[in-house]
Amino acid sequence: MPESHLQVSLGLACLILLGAASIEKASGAVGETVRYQVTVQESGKKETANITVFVLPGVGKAARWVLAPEETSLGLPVASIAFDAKGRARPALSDPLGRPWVSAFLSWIEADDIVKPEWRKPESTGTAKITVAELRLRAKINVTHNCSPATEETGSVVSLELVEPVTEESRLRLELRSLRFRFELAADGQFSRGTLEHDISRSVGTVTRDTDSRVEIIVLSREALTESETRKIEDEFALLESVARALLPGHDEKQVKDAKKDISKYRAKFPEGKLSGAIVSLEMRLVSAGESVAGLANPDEAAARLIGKIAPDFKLTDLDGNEVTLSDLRGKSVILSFWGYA
Amino acid sequence: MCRAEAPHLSALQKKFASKGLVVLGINIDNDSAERIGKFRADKGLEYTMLQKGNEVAMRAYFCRAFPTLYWIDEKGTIMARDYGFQTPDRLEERARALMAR
Repeated sequence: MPESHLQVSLGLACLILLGAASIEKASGAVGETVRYQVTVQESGKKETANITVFVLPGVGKAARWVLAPEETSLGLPVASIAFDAKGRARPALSDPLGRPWVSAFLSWIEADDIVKPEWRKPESTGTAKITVAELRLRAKINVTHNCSPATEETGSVVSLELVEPVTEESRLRLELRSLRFRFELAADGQFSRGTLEHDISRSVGTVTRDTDSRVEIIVLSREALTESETRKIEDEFALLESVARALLPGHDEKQVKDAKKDISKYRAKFPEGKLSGAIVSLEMRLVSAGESVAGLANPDEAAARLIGKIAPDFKLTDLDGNEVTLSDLRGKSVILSFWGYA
Repeated sequence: MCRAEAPHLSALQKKFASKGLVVLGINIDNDSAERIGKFRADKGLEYTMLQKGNEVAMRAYFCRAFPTLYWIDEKGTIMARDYGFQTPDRLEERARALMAR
């Protein structure tokens, strides 16, 4: 089997073990930093991103994983995840830009937490193993191994049959679980039957948040970064985290001020930084975040300043569940009527 | 008071729909779609109602009293803001000025 296949396969299986290993490391120096190349597909649109996951030391056993994208086109910090004392992953900070693949990636990492204890490092054949009993318990399914012995080229193939009606929860779990597998739905699109197939060169998954939003993540590769690369990303994130906080709903004046300070610090420190292209748009966002905070203190002045400006854009849902975006209505004359019962 | 304006806005929407006027009613109370739907049906309103607009109202449009109206022209520019009840004549005058831009 080609060497690259083995590496990828090991990579996927290592990911599964990463949680426990990293938490142990977290009390000491920075843990293993890993770069994933993933392709994310949402509503037919594909996007490939390099996402770096690294660990910062936490209090006690709690550790934090941080994801940072490396493409300037994607730009910004995406998320951090806190681990509680039991090692369960909990998203602590989410993407202020709300890109759907971020939450999908987080779900993927979280799902890892669900299956983690039942996975082991692969044997030299390059196939990962799952405890069938655990899979059955979690998803209420019958599982059979079809491919025995598993070969290096195909990995192990597992088929499953659901024995209980699928609830939303089990459906989600099943889909998250299948991130490591190719999961084929029956012709009717239901989870009445399906096949889990471990593809050793890629990991394919679908996350369904609701009926309209399906995000598929394909992990193309995984590699550990050197310590110096890790330090650089850590420095970058120190800036980006404060900015992300300042841009989250409910931010306060101090957060915006701190973030503005960090931005200027960053500029001086990394004039040619990978994320410098995103800094301009970050600063603009911070300015409007600052205006928003100031506006809350003095709404009438802030509202008066809006006259003659482009109306702040928004996306809201109508009574039938359709999304309405203000900027889509260019060319129309629009009256916004804010109302309530009070 | 807040809701008294709604039928007049609906009348405007009906009258000027063909001239490209769009009225969006943005609920700021986090009411359920059912409750808003009932209000719309009871009053016979014919414009689009949007849910959960509190964040947009407070943080983006700095509303502090309701109803608040924002008048946005074809280029997306805010022409004017009104808050408190507006008479039907005043609403129509505003709408004509908006569409003339």
